[in-house]
Amino acid sequence: MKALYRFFESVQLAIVLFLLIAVFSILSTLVPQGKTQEFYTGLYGSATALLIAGSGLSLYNQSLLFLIPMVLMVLNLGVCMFERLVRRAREHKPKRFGPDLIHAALLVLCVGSLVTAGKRTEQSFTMGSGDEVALQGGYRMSLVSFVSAAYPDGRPQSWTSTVDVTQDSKPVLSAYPIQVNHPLSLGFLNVYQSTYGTEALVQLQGADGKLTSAAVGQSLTVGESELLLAGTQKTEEGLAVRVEEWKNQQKVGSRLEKAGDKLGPFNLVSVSEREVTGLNAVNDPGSLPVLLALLIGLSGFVLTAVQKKKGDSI
Amino acid sequence: MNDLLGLTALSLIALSAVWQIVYLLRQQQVADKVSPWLLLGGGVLLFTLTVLRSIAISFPAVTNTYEALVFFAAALCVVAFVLRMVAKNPVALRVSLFGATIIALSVAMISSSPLVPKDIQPPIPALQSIWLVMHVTLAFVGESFFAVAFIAALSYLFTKDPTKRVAIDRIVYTTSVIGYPIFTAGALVFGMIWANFAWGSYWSWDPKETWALITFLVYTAYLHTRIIMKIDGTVSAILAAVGFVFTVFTFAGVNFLLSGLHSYG
Repeated sequence: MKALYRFFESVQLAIVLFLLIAVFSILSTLVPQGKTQEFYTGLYGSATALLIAGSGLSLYNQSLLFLIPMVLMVLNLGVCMFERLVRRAREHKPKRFGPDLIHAALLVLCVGSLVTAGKRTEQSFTMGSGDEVALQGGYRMSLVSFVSAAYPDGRPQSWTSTVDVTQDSKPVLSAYPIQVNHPLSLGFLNVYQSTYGTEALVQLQGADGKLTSAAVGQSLTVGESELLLAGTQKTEEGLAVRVEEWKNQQKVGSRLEKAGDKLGPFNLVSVSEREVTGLNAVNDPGSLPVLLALLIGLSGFVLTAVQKKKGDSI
Repeated sequence: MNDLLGLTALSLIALSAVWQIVYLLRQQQVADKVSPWLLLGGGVLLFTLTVLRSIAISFPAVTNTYEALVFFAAALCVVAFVLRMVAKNPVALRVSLFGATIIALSVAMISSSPLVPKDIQPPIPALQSIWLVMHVTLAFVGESFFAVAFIAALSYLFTKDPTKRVAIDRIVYTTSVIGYPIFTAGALVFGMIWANFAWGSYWSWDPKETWALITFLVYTAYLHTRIIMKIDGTVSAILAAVGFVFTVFTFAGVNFLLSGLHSYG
């Protein structure tokens, strides 16, 4: 037991782990992450692909190659910190707490990362003006407006999604502007501006007179065929939808349909386009300990600089 | 105006390098008093260039490759000047400062290359963040100290005289120990905070992030070998040298060889 404690107390172990993680991390940046076995076989050949998959380099941050050295490092950090504090209590030298804070920050960072790995949830969605979406925590968010601005050279200048938020039917926020670098914060739940674009909507009327909507990208089953609403195109008679007919997973035809045309058993009532904003709602209870760790680490660096030994000069 | 400033800055840094060569060749044991001021002049002019571009785009001009290179060269000039001014043994420092001058000159020359676009453009939404500004500027200031440490580490490896080695080791250590927290705060801490504000995640395992972590780990290993294990020798010097090579790769190599979130041109 004592030998094990001495092992984890060792600075040599820390240095070996730093370099080991550095080397594995270098390898991970050379291998495209999260691809299929076929992808790696095509790129590197079957033997190397097997080695990549077997070693875990294909998904480095979830592999034993990363996790084992990290667990060892956490143990090493914990034991070293404990030892430093015990030694500090025995000695009567001037106290230099900067490095202790930095070590503590790394431990808190690991705790935050673990919480994030276990508890983080994400919800991506697109919204047009007037749309409402349910969020975690009983929140409902509706989009008041979305404005995208561009510089004269055409590059994006800003994207602003203005939203109203309610919780249990009570107003929480009104006309809050969500922008890139300016998310909406509702406790641990944050909503980020992530993308924008246009969304095409097709309104159909069935034989029973009932109206239904379908978005571009959706398919309608008509007998043995699948009618894929593949996209929209502006025509002289207005906006039309490009319909691809698929049978037995093979495309057998493509045509443009406009309002008033027949689409299998449906009447095509309208084809319209609207601007939508893409938002990403993230609930991450681990973000607070991570932020805390970063602040403790910065404080540690500042304290180390302030308490720096005299004589550390060139 | 900007071209003239850049050219004048480049000339001053080049003149400083030539001045230092003369002193190095003479092998006099006195420190020259002119080249640091020439270097400072070059740095101040490059900073002026950054300020003028910042006014033009109404945002700190550190958001594209050209602006980053100009800022890095300026920071390196100023860091080298400050180190020279505070050094108790400027003669031991002169090889490192000459190396830093050559690196600053190379970076300034690369920035003036026609291959690097110099269009004055305001930043896209993802880059409009004060955290980004702190991320980029502090990372480059930290890297400027690492550049001096790199040259000192190389000269340590090629020096046999034990007395000189002690003095050079002190330069490697001091510059690394100053650069390390600044680099960590800029490249990692403020970078993580910016990423969380912009994308909702502190860390995405983007290649640039991973390489910044790798650089941090190498310098952390250096400091542990040097401070705790008291290894003030070849191993430490190699780690300090490798650390700067990784720093350069993190900035330049990742952009050209690996794709990721940091591809802003």
